[in-house]
Amino acid sequence: MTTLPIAHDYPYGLIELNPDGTIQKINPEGKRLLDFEVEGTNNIFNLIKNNDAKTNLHECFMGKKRDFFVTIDSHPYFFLFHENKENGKTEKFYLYIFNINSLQSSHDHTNWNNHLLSSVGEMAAGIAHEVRNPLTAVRGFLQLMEETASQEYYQIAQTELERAINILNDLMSVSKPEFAQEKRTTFNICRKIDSVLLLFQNQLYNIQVVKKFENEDALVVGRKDQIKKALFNLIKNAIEAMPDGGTLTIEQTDNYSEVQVNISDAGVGIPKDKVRLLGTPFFTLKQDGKGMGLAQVFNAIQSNNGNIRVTSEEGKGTTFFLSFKKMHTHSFLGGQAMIETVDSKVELSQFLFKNLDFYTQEWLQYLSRNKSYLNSVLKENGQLDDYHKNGNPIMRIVAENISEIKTEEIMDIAKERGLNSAKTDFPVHLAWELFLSSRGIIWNAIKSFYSESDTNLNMDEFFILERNVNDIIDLYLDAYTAYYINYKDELIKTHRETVDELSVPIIPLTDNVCILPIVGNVDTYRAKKIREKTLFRVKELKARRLIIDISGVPFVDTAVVNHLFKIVKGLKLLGCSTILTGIGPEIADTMIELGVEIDSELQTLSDLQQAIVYIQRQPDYKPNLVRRN
Amino acid sequence: MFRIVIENEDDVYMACSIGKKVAAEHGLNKTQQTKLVVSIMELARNIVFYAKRGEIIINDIPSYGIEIIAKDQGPGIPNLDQYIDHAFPSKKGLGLGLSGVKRLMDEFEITTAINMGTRVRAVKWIKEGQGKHNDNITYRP
Repeated sequence: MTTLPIAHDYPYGLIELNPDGTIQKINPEGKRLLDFEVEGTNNIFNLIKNNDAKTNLHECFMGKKRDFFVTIDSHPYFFLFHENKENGKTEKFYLYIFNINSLQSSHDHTNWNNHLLSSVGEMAAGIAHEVRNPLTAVRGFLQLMEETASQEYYQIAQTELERAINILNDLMSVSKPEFAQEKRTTFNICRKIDSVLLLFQNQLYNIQVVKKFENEDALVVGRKDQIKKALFNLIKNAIEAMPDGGTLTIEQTDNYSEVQVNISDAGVGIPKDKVRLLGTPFFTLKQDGKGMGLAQVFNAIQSNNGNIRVTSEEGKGTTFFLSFKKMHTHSFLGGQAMIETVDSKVELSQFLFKNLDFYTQEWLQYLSRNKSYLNSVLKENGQLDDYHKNGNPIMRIVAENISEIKTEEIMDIAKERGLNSAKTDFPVHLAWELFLSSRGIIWNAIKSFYSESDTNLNMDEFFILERNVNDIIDLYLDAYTAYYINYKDELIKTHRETVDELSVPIIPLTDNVCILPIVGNVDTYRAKKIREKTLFRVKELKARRLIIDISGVPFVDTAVVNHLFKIVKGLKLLGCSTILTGIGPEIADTMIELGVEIDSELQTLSDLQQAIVYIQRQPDYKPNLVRRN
Repeated sequence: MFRIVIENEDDVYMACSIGKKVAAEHGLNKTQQTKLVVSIMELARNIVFYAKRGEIIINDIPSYGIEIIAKDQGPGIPNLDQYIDHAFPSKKGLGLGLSGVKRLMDEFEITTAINMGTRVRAVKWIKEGQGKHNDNITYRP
C-alpha cells in the first residue's frame, strides 16, 4: 500500500481499496484512524478493529449501504463509501472517513470573528450597563448643583459625562442591539443604499460616488434597520478614509442565491496586520474612533446570515464585500420595499373575510350549475347548509393564514373535515372536485381584490403570493387526504380481520372427516392464518381425514401450492391425511407447466362429491354424524 | 398498457386481475388465461419477496400477444442458470417460479445483474404456436 501523496493536510481519512478489500492507498489520517501495527496484511477487514465499523463496511462491500456512522474512541465518525465503476465493473472503492467533531470545529473556526464579537461584546455590554447607571446619577446631581456653584467646571464635567454615556450607549447597541427585536423583513437593498447616501450629501462635495447596480429590484431578507445602520457605518468609514477626496464605488450584483454589495474607497487603506482585527469591538484606527462602527457592521451582517469580507491596500483603498441571502420564496415576510404587498396581504385577508359569503354563493352556484351530482350528494349529507352558514372552508383558511401561516390550525381543521368525510363515505374524488373548484374561486377573489385596489404586483411579487396561497391550500389538501385515507385503511384492516375469522370454515362431515373449502386468493398472511386455524381445528375435532377443496381459489401459483403443502405436512404430523379436490383443468395444466409435483402423501380427487364417495368406501368409515347436544 | 407498482401482496392480486382482464379481452382461452395470470403472479411475488418493490408492465401487442415486463432494482439473481433450467430449492417457495414462468409463457427473456436488479420479459401469444421459441438469458455477474 502507498500513502496518498495528495492527502497530507486533509482533515479526513481517505482509503483506496480494491474490490477484495485490499488497501491500495491510504492517507495519514486514515492510517491514524485504523491505528494498525500489523504489517504484512493489508486487507481492510483485518485492520479495522472496531466491530461495528467492520460489519457496516461489510454491508457497504455488499452494496447494501453507502454510508454509516460509527463511534470510535468516543468520537463520532462518518464513513462514506464510494464505488468507482468502469464499464459496469467495480474498479476501486474509496472510503472517506470524517470526524464529525473536527468537522464542526473547523466550521466554527471560520466563524471565529462572530464568536469573538459575541463574547467580547457580551462582556462589554455588561460592564457598560453597570457603569452607565452611576454616571447617569452623577449627571443628575451635577445638574442640581449647577445653580449654586461656578458654572464653568460643571459644564466641563457634564459634557465629559455626556460623552461617556454616549460611548456606553453605542457599545451596548453593538452587542445587545435594539435591533434584536426587529423582525426580519424583505427589502430592496439598492433603495436602502440610496437612502443612506442621501444622509451624506453634505460631505460628498469632494467625493465622487460611482454606483453600479446590476439589479435594482434585488430583495434581501434581514433586519432592515440593522443592515441600514451597517451600510451607514461602512459608507461613513469610506468617506472618512478619503479626507482629500476620491472615488467611492458601490457595486451591487446578484446571482441565484445571493445579493452582493461591494463598497470600495480610494482612501488610506488598512495595514495588512490589522485587517484581521477589523470588527473586533474597541479596535480602531481613527484618531477619535471608538471601535464600534465596524463591530456593529460585522455583527449586523453575520446575524442576518450574510457574509462580510475585506480587502485593503495601504494608500490605495479598502473594499468591503457583503453578501446577503436572497429572499427565500418560502419564508416570505414582506418589508419596506414591499410595503404595499405586506399591507395588501392584511387587506387581502380582510377582503376575503368580508366577501367570503359572496364568493361562497358564487362557488355554490357554480357547483349546482356544473356539478349537479356533487351538488346532490352535498345536499344529502347536509354539507350545503354548512357551506351556506360558514362559507367555503378552504377560502376561510386562506383568509386566516395569508398574512401568517399557522400550520397546526390548518392541520386541525383538515383532520376534522377529513375524518368526517371518511366517516360519511364522502367519495374522495368528489372531495377533490370541491378542492379544485375552491381553489378556482379563491383565485377569482384574489384577482378581483387586486384589480379593485390600486396595488400592483410585479411578476416576482405575484409568484410569491401564488406560492403563499397555494402552500396554504396544499397543506390543507395534504392533511385532509392523509386523514381520510388513514381512516379508510384502518377500516379495511378491521374488516379484513373479521373476514379472516370467517375464512377458515372447517366443517365436520362425520366423526373423523372434515371439509375445508378455501375461497378466494391465498396470500402469505391468509395462508398462515389458514394453517394455524386448520391445525387447531383438526386437533380439536380429532379428524383423521381432511378434504381441502380449492375450487374457489381462482389461481394457483407456486406460492399457493407451497402454502398448501405446508398445511398438508402439518396435518400429517397430527395424523390426519389430506384429500385435495377442486383442481380445475386449467389449473392442472398450469401446475404441470410450473413443474409442481404432487406429493404421493397427498391424495387428489376431482371434486367434493367424489371425495365423499371415496371416504364412504373406506374400511374405517363410521357413518354416524356429529352428535349435536 | 398497464403499469402496476408492486410493493406488497395486495399489488400482486391487483396485477393478476388486470392481467386476467387483458387476457379475456384478447380472447385467450381459459387455460391460456390461467397460465398468463399465474405467470404474472409468480413474477410479482418474486418482486415482493426478493426485491421488496418493483413494477409489472402488462402490454398488449395487437394480433401478436400479451407482453409482461417485470422490473425491479433488487439484489439480482445469482446462479441464474440453476433457477432457469431445473428447480432449485428456494427459501421462500418451491423454487419453481422462474422456470415455471418460462414453461408457461411462449417467449421468455431475463436480464439480471447482482445488486442492480432484474428484468423479465415474457410474452403469451394470442395464437398458440404462432412463432418460434425465443428464449434469451443475459447474465452479468
